Amino acid sequence: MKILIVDDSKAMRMIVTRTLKQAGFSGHTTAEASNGVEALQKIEEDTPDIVLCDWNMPEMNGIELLGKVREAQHNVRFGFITSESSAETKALAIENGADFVLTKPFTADSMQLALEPVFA
Amino acid sequence: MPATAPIVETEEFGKFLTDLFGLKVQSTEAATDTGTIRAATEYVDGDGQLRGLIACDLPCAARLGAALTQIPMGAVDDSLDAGALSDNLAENLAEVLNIAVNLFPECHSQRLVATTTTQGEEASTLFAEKTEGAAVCSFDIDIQRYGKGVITIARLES
Repeated sequence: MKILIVDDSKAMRMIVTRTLKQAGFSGHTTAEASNGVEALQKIEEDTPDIVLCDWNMPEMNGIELLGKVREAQHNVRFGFITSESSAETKALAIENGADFVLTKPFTADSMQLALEPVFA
Repeated sequence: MPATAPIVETEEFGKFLTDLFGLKVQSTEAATDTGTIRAATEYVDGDGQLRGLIACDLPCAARLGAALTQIPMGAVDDSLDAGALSDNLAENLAEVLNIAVNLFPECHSQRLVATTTTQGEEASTLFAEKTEGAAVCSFDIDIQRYGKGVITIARLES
């Protein structure tokens, strides 16, 4: 599978990549983007299978990106990995077509739990 | 000095950092000393109202920044010798404090976001000014392989 990791923090992109491996999701191809605009371009060009996306980012935030992805009918699974944890935020994500919301900080176990249904 | 209040339980706080770093973090309650603060982040609600601050002394700030991506200890020592965080430690610290929004109990019922991180002696003044009358708690933390520092959390009433 092709996984696109979207986060404006280089550190977090590194941590997501590392935790994916620790959670048993090794052997997949990963790519990175640092904001929604860059991510949208990579989704159109590289057609990833899964997008793992931060919420608060410059240029275009995560929920705006999700809206554009669903509007363009890209058939990609989309999950948020974010410090946002309010019920309101989670509901908004799901209403807009997110497959899951994983709150930071996450562990290999919590990532595995969130991603297993998506990878199935 | 503001009153101490259990904004977050000591054990929960240690677990939060352990989960974030993938390294064992021991935490114990500590006395609050705003004079040693060298980095502080403000948290606002959806109306832009200040709801809390989290602040660190320089050893804590450097070690949190390094532990996030497991930067070698030499970078921590360099920052402590210089009396200021290097750019990469500062960037990592900002990300740690961004995620630390989840230490505030109200973040589960309403949107809170981290804004700017202030560094240097200015952070100490800012923290003292903005947390007058707030609930405040401090922790000594000891991060596996990185060592110790003090972190302080202040929660303002709405």
